[in-house]
Parts: sequence; structure tokens; C-alpha cells
Amino acid sequence: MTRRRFILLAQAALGALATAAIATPIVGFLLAPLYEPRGRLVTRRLGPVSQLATDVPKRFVVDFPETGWTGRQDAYTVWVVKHADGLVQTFSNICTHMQCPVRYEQSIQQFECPCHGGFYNLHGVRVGGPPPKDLPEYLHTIVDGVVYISNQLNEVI
Amino acid sequence: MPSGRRSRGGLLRREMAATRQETTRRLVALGDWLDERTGYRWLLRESLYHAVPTKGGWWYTLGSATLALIGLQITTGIFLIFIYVPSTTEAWSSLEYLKTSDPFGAVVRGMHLWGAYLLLFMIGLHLVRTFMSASYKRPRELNWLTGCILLLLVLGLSITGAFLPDDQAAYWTGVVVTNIPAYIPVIGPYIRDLWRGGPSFGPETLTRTYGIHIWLLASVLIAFIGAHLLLLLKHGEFGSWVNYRGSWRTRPPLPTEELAAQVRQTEPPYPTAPTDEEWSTPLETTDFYPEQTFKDALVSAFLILVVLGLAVVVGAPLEDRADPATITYVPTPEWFFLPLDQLLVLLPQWFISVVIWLPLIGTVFLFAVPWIDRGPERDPFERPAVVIPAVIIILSLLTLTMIGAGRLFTL
Repeated sequence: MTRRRFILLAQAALGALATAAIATPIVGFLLAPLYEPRGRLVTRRLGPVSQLATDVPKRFVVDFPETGWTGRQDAYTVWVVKHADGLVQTFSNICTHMQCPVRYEQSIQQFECPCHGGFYNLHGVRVGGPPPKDLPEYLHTIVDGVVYISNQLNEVI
Repeated sequence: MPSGRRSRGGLLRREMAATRQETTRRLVALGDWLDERTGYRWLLRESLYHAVPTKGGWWYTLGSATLALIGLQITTGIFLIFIYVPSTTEAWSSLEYLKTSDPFGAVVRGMHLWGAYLLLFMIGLHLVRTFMSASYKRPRELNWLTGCILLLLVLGLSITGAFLPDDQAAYWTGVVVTNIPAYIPVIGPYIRDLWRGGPSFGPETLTRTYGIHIWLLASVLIAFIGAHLLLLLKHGEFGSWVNYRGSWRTRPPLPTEELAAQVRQTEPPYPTAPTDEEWSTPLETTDFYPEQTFKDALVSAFLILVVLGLAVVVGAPLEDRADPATITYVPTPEWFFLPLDQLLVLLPQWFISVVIWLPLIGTVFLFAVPWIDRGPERDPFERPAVVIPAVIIILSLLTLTMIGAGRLFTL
């Protein structure tokens, strides 16, 4: 190897080394949301099942902590439906299509997304429009007839 | 007496002339000093003293207007940083404060918003103009390519900027737009989480998007503007096909001698084999400075005044603070997203990933235009293979925009 060829290779190697030294921590930092779980799991009390009318969704507004460092809580809507057979479902109002806020239309007894016209029935099953999945539910428990939910959905949307 | 006054006046005039001469001499000496050390006169000569095609000069102002509006965005953007706080606790409040307690600041924000809207419009027109006149042909393929990248960067800046106010419009735009990449197969959800900095729109979404907006995209934009302008200087303005002698196929016989006299040696050959050099030289040329720069200045100044007018009269709206719990707010996309939004309404649910593929395929075709349409032909009526698809695409975008606007805003 000539001296010239050596210093050509060496400076390319030094450049690569310096680039890697800069890029590694930056890439690791940017990818953090994938391996460092963001947000923490909390449980919120909604209310007694006995106060729910059958097949009439009732809207609760609960505070869930923001991800990150602010310590703030954001309000989220939960649609709670008690079916005739006693089944209770706690729907998020996040549409599975583009995550717009879903509202309940009493006249058609369906949840409607105003963005692109997605429809879900009282069981959260998509019945019209573009949503690819059913309306997600927050995981809930019923203790002594009172509904509690956690900020965790039953499906990845 | 009168003659004495006259001679005194004459003396004064002579003294003033001498002073002026001395001032000029010193300025020239200063210029010489600076030129010896920087070579700035070479730069001025290279950038200002070249020939441009005479006809269609008003059309070339679209490019300089785009540049002027980008300059306006960078300037107003820098000063908006003086008050904006990229945090979910304070972003909205800082802009609310700007709106209620800082009249000039509100105008600066208004100019940043309307400047962005006008910029998108002008860069679109600039794209259509360069396409219609086939300015992308050899040797200007890379002018086109860098221009396409600049278009994508401007779109990226527009959409990341829309997240930042953290009002209802910004929040729901942020939620929906960060959700679009989730439809990319396999890696999509991860891209969404990386952009958001977590599973949902939160503080990290705002800081990440802010960083992307003010530094990442902006610095890349400036670099590509440099490349775009250097390539423009290298190849010269192509102008429009009307500057050249009819169509290549249907050309009349060339009065070669007469035309050769018009050929300016400063012009690069206007290209595309197989054709002769006289053929590809503009019929008439004029000086870039001050002929073309005057038109550029007129259009750019007019647009900036329009932006100022819109900022003062209409201003930048700030809706209620972001509320994820809302069940009454109807998210509406920014107007430049309307075609995609309307497509989302029309597409059946098993076809959603089209929102990814259609823009992606469109972008690939846009980038590939110089290599698809390689013939020597410049006249848009002689290039149906690319012009007809382009017209169909433009009309589809306009139609989707109009249907979407009718659906959302009940026009």
C-alpha cells in the first residue's frame, strides 16, 4: 500500500467513525418512543352501572395523564353502553379511520365520525364508511357495580 | 450684483461637483478594496448580467415570487420564535397572548400564515409553468428535481406548521396527519409513534414537530434553494416554448444567417438532441438585470403587500384550546389537504392505503417527468403523452378540492 492510498483510506475511515459517533446517540434518542414506554397506566372511576339506561350511550369525560414531562392531564371522552343482556362496553371516541372524535347520533342510534363519515353501531361494530376496525374500547372492570376504566385500549388503532 | 451672485453660484456648483467626484472616487476605492478580497463583482456579474428570453418574462416571475415568499416565511418565522412556546401547556396561551396583547405580533403571525398559503399557491403555479414549457428537458433535469424536492419541503413545512398553535384545528390536524403514515404496511404504526413521540399526540409531538418545522426542514430547504439557484445560473432561464422557433417537428426553414446574429454566446445551447444550436436559441433575449429583475420585484412586492393586507384585515385565526374530549368539533383539513381528504371519504375501507400509495406514486412520476418526456419537443400541444395525464391530474385535484370544500364548508 502506498502512503497516498493509506491516507485516503484512513481519512474515509475517520470520517465514518466521526459520523457514527455523532449519529448513534442521535438515532437512539429519536427512536426512544419505540423502546421506552411513553405514558403510564392509570385507572379512573366512571360510575355505577345502575345509572345507565339500556342501549343509550352515556358520555363520561375522564382525565388521563399526558405522555412526557408536563404532568398535565388531558380530558378524554368515554362512551359507556349498557346492553339489554347486561353487557357493558366502554368505547373510546377515537375513530379507527383517522382518529377523529366520534359522536353519538340518537336519531340513527349509531356512533358517527364527522371527518369521513364512519359509522359504528351500539356494539362499536363498524357499519358504514371507511373505518378499517371496530370502535376501540377502554379496558374496564366492574367492582361492586361501579365501572372503572384504564387508559388502555383493547386494540391497536 | 446679478453677475456676482451667478459666479458665486457657479463656484458652489463646482465645489459640490468636486465633492461628489471625491465621494465617488472613495466609494470606488472601497469597492476595489472589497473586490480584491472577496471577488464580489464577479459574483454580481455572474448572477445579474446574463441574457434571458424576452417573451414570457411575466411567467418567470413565479419562481422569484416563490423565493420572495420563502424569504418572507423565514423572516416572519424567526421572529415568531421570540414569543411562541412549543409546549402543550403554553403553546396556545402564548399565541392567545400574541393575539390579544400584541397587535404587531399578531400581524407577524398573520403574515406567516397567509404567506404560507400564498407560497403554496405560487409554487404550484411555478410547477405548472415549468411543466407546460418543458423547462425540465436536458440539461435542466436536475433543476426540475431540486424544484420537486423544494415543493415537498414546502408542503412538509406547511403541514408541520399547522400543528403548532395547539388550538382545536392544530390538534386535530396533528392527530389525523400523524396517523396517515400508520397506513404504511408493517412499519407504519412505528413511524406514527416516532413522529408523535409516543402513542398519542402529546408534548413530545409538539416539540418534535417544532424541531422539524423550524430547523430540520427549513435548513434542508435553504440548502436546496441554493442548489436550485446555482443550477439556474449554470443553465440560464429556459423561459417558455414561445421563445423558440415553433415546434421542433413543424419548424419553418431557418434563416440561419439572421438567426446566428442573434445567438448570444452567453447562452448555453438549448438542448435536446437532435436539434441544431441555432434552433435551440431563444428568438430574442434581454438583460436579466434590470429588465427581468424589475418584473420580479414588481410581482414579489405586490404579493408581499397582499400578504400584509390579509394579515391585517383577516389575520391568523386561533380557535379554542385543543380538547381531545370534544364530541362537537368537526376537524377540517388545511385546504391543500382537501383532495386527499375527499379521497378518504370516497374510498371504501379496504382501499384506505391508497392515501399512502397515490401521493407516493404521484411524487415518483413527478420526479421522473424529465426522463419520461425526453424528446426535443417543447410545445405543450406537441407533447400529449405527458400533458394530457398532467391536465387530468390537475383537474382531478381541483375537482376533489371543490367536492371536499362543498362537503366541509357548505359553500
